[in-house]
Parts: sequence; structure tokens; C-alpha cells
Amino acid sequence: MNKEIELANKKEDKKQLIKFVLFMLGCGALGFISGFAMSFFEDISVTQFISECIVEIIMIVSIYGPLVLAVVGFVVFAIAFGKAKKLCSTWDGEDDEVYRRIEGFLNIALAPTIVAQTLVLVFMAIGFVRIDMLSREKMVIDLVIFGAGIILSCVFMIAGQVKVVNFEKVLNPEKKGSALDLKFQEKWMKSLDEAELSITYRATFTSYRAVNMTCGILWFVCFIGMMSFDLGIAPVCIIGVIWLVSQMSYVIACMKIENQKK
Amino acid sequence: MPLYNHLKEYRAKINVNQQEMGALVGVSRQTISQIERGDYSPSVTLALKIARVFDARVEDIFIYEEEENE
Repeated sequence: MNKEIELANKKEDKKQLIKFVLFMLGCGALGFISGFAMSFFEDISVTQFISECIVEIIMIVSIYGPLVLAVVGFVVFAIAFGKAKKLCSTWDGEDDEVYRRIEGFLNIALAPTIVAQTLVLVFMAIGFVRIDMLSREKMVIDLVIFGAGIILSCVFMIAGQVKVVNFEKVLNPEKKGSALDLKFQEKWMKSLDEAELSITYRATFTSYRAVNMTCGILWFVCFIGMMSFDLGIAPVCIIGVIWLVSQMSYVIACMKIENQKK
Repeated sequence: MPLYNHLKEYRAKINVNQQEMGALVGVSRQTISQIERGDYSPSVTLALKIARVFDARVEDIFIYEEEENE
């Protein structure tokens, strides 16, 4: 029986070997072209120019970005949340089509708050560096715009998530947890039933795979950046840490769950 | 896995809506709806809880039919 399984494994590995070798050759070719392009552009000082332009753009965006994020996010949220509430007022409590539309609008309303959650931190870090570089007069104006944007984004993000969670609890009374609770995720997960947990677990695995792929792509980008744009070794190291944590936490979680006694 | 069910008919007999049915067996309204549409197959525990609500057998409520190509 074991010999049959081994033979089947060898057959499948042989089948996939050609695709794998072609993939590795493709990666090698990409590396060769990137290395050639890097040395070519370095010679004509394009990389420094591109790097300075990109940094300048990102720094300007980081000052005005939080305010734009808060305003645009609020508009999107208000429209989608309003539509969800309107639909809910006409819902009979059983129509699945209407329920799906309500959930769709709630997801649209929630999306800008989740985007704000990440971007506000990024803008905050870069924005402080930018303000530090400015002259005193420009600093005051930019600091006010930047500060107001950060505060408004944070308020919008928190208030938006509280509203969506409370609305979900009206639609689904069995759900528990306040969005302001630090243990909200734990309490919310405990109130999910078997079908909802199954969806959550499948979505989480999709997210895990997406993070792994993104780490691979970002590693390549940071490696090129390190060689051509003088990014230093910090980005590659940070990507390494994130990737390692993602992989190891998955493996450890699998082991714990397998060994768990019900 | 083709798991058909008569959950909606049994629910109508005792006059409970999906929300109430969900509360009786400890799941959400959507899960009851997904079960009725055949989009979700309940666990053994949940199927037994549902059967107990109607005082019926699991096999009376849920029907498993082999697919023709199996």
C-alpha cells in the first residue's frame, strides 16, 4: 500500500516538475533583467531622481491625506449606511435578497473605516517626519491641517465602526460585543454560530495566503529598492519578520488545534 | 454534498419564523435560511437539535441523496 502511494507521489511530482522549473527560470530571468536595469539606471542617475520624486509626493500626501481620507470616507459611509437603514426599515425579517443588499451596503460603509485604520498610522508616521523638515511658517499651517486630519480620521474610524457593529446587532440580536471593547473580537467570535465560523475561517485562510503572496512581492520590491534607491536593509528585515510571524503563527495554531482535546 | 431538507415545512407546522427557529437551536437567522436553501449543511449536533424542536427524526427532516455520477 505504501509503495503504491510513493509511486503515485513520484508520478505527481514528475508532472509538476516541469512547471516548477519553468517558474524558477522565469524568476531568474526577472532577477537578471532587474539587475541589468538597476545598473543601467544607476549609471544615468535616474534612480536618485525617481526616488526623490516619490518621497516628495508621499510626504505631501501624508500631510493632506488624513483630511481627504476623513472627508471622502465620511461621505461614502453616510451614503451606504443611509441606504442600509432605509432598506432595513422595509425588511420583513425573512427576505434573503433584501438582507443580502443590506449587508452589502453595510460592507461598503465599513470599508473606508478599515482603510482609515491602516492609512492613518502610515500618514501619521510620515507626516511627522515631513513637518519636522519644514520652515516655521509652513510648519504651522501644515501642522494644523495634518492634526485636524488625523483627529477627524480617528473619530470617523471609531464612530463608523461603532455604528456598523450596533446596526449588525439590530439585524442579528444574538451577536455580542461593543466595538469600543478591547476584547470585542473575542466576544464577537464567541457569538458566531457554526456556519458563520466556517465563513470566518475560510476567509482567514484566504487572507493568510494573500499576506504570503504580498510578502513575496514586497520582498522583491524592497530588494530592488535596497540596491537601486538606497532604501537600506530595514524594509527587507521588516518584511522578513512579518512573513515569518505569518507562517509560524499558522503552523503553531495548527499544532495547538490538532492537540486540543474537546 | 446534496443534502435536501423539509425544514421550512416543519417550521410552518409549528408557526415559527427563521429568527425564532434560530433562537431555539442557538444559531443565527441566516444560518436557518442557508440550511433551508441547501447552501449550508448543518453539523450533526445542529441537525439533532433541529429534529428535537419538531420532535421528529433527523432522517425525516434531512434527506441525503447520492449524486448519479458517484
